[in-house]
Amino acid sequence: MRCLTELECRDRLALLGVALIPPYGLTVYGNQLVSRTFEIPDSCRLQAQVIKKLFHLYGDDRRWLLWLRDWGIWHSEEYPEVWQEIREGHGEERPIIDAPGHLFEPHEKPLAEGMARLTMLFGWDAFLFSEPLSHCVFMSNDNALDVFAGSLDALEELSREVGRFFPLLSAASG
Amino acid sequence: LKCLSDQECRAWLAPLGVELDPQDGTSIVGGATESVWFEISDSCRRQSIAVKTIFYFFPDDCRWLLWLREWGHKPSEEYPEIWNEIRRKNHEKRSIIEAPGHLFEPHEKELAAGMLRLAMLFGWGAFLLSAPLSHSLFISSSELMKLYATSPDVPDAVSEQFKIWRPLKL
Repeated sequence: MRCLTELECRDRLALLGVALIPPYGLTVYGNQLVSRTFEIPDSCRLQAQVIKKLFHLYGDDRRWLLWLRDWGIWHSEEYPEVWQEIREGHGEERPIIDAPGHLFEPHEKPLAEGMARLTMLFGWDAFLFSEPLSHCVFMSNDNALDVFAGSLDALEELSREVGRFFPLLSAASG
Repeated sequence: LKCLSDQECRAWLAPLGVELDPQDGTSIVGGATESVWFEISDSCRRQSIAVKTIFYFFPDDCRWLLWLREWGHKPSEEYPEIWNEIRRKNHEKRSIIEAPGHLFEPHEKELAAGMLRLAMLFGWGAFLLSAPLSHSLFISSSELMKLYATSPDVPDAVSEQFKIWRPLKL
């Protein structure tokens, strides 16, 4: 795992043709991705299963970028020391704000999954992208999970899987 | 954080006047005047607040032993790589089965709380004890928690998050 600055995250995504549209929209080569929003339930079991499902759908031979956008919101649910230990274990000495991106190599998939799990558990805001680009997700501190895909068909398939665990909040947009 | 073998865990407990109940391995003998069983809620929020509550009642100058007893039973809920990353960061190369104890120094209170949080999240079985001895607990893979205490303060506070579980009489 390697931590990246905001600028490095943006540069990395630009190589994939991805740009952020404030506040939380995404385009790929100028085309807005379609998305659906699900409610993240307050269930340890369901959250764990959705994260595992999302990573199962990614497949194996790729990198992942987990880009934290906000944290420190729900103190009663956060254990940031766990996060810091993992960063420090990878030689990262900067605070999250200086390097909020977390780039995982293909062999680090279980760690990427685990840190995505913690992100949701702690109620942090974060984007999760893969290289090569596949579906993307944005989890937010207001208990919402946005899933993004390049086509309605791909979004349907993704939504079917996520929808087995999380209730749908909004229909496709973008 | 320093990891300990089963034997080292038992040796660490001995001066506290505490030992595992040889009958079932999920109870401790000595120390507490009362014990209460709780159901561990599936709510992330409740689990998190319960763990913070348990640590709130520890004095700051404690050392803690988090002794894993069961793991690997619920693959759909576990993320062991997180656990192993923390062990490796603390120079531990052995597997959990060889060194299932996790000893935390007083300055590592936040990490100790974080790792109890993870153990509960993953549905693992574990003891948490402190030196000097204060309240102690056992969490089980069957979603129960046994809290040992010398006063009702801690069980009362935890009962705001977890229901008290009363075993049915046969």
